[in-house]
Amino acid sequence: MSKYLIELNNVNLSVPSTQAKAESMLTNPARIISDFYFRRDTRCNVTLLKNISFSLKAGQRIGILGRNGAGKSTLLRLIGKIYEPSKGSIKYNAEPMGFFSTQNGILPEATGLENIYLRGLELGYSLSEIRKRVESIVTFSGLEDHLNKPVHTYSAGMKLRLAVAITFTVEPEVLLLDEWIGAGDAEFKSKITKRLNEIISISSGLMLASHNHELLKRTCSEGLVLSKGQIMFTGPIDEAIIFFRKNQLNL
Amino acid sequence: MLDDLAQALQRPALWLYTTWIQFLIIYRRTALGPLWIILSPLAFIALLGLLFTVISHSNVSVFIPHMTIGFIVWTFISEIIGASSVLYIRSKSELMSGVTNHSVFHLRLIAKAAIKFLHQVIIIIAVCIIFQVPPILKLLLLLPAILLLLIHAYWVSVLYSIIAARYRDVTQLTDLLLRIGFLATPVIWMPTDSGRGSVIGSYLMANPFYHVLEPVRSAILGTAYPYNSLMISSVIALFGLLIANIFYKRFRKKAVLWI
Repeated sequence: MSKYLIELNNVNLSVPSTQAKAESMLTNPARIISDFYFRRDTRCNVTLLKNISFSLKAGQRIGILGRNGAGKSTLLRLIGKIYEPSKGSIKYNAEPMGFFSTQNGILPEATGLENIYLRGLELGYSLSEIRKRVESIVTFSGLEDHLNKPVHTYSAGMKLRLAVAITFTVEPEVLLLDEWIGAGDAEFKSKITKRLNEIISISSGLMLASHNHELLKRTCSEGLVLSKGQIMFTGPIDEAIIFFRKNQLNL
Repeated sequence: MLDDLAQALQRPALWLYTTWIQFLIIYRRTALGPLWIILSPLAFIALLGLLFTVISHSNVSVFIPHMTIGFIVWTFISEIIGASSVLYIRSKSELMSGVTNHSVFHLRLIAKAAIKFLHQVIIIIAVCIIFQVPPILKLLLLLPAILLLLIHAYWVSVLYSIIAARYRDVTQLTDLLLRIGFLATPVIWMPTDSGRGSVIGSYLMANPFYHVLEPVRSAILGTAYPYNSLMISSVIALFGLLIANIFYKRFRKKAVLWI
């Protein structure tokens, strides 16, 4: 058996939450006063992931399938050390890194250039390392003329260009990807795809959550089907996709 | 907790630079810029100082330096507590982007309050010059007092931010806590020699804010140094760090789910 990069052992994740009573001012406007002053929502514990056990071995590229709310993103964040399991354990032999929502952590009031430094620092670079990379980041983003404007004046596409250009300087050992990053115009899209494939080929492991089966087939070797926070199937990606399509309505 | 802290301290750019840029942003479109950090406490001290010296007939040259230092240290304390109570909610976007060392957020919070504090030190210096407070700064005694202030800031930030992320009532409670703290601590009033200046004064020894503030103020003003306050403050800091350490280990990653 080859050495694992990341191994999850019987991992559970639950979170305390509140649930509004079924009867509320939404169903009866007369309740507006009593709801505001007297309503106590019931506290409950929601299980997000249940009994998750699997391992990512060197060279494996695992695709995660599942319907909306199945726990795909949650699982990736858990592996990316943003969350911690409530039960069970995760062992690491490699450092994972997620390209989740790349625009998280961007400060809208700061300029493009300032954001390159801010995000760069958070990605683990020192100031001098960022200084060396600024030029290539700017070239990749194609935002040369807008660097000194605050990011909140950018269009959605420009924001994405900036965020992606900064993030894509990193080459993680294990890449966690929540949906393929793709937006902006065709030219930038192909730029993203090219660089992302490069990053994936350098990495020693990949976990990709996606609804795009063609993409999963192209990119991944293994598949993992999630439903309501539980693993329903693991195996080769083709079989995982067939399993998912067959049982889609019951998952 | 201390491992993470040491790791973050080795990369000061990660928290200092960000804090600095946040300052830049706040004052970028104002005409007076960072002068505002000094102006608003200055106005408060001038007005209240004037008012209270008239009402209470106390000696202006004693009362105003006393209040100035008290008010500026109190501003630091309340800034720390107030910001801790919303730390996780405010940092959600960065937490989700994969910043896993939470000490970074605590250091940023403290750096922000400290930068403000350092600006306001100018007011203290000015007041000391105007009222001719003898410049025998007990510098050696000021150092442990400031160090303790920072240690308190750290454990409070860790502990309070986690509790406030879990129980939203705590965020609402913060305002009340700070108001009572401000009135109960000798900031705008002076304890008499026996330490019992007013009704609240009788409970002075039970007020932790007093023990944190008084060594700083006393070292600058050159009054009788409250060694017992320094001791009490150290003991509180030690216990605070221990409890914060437990909370940091057990709950910080859970706090991300609570927000």
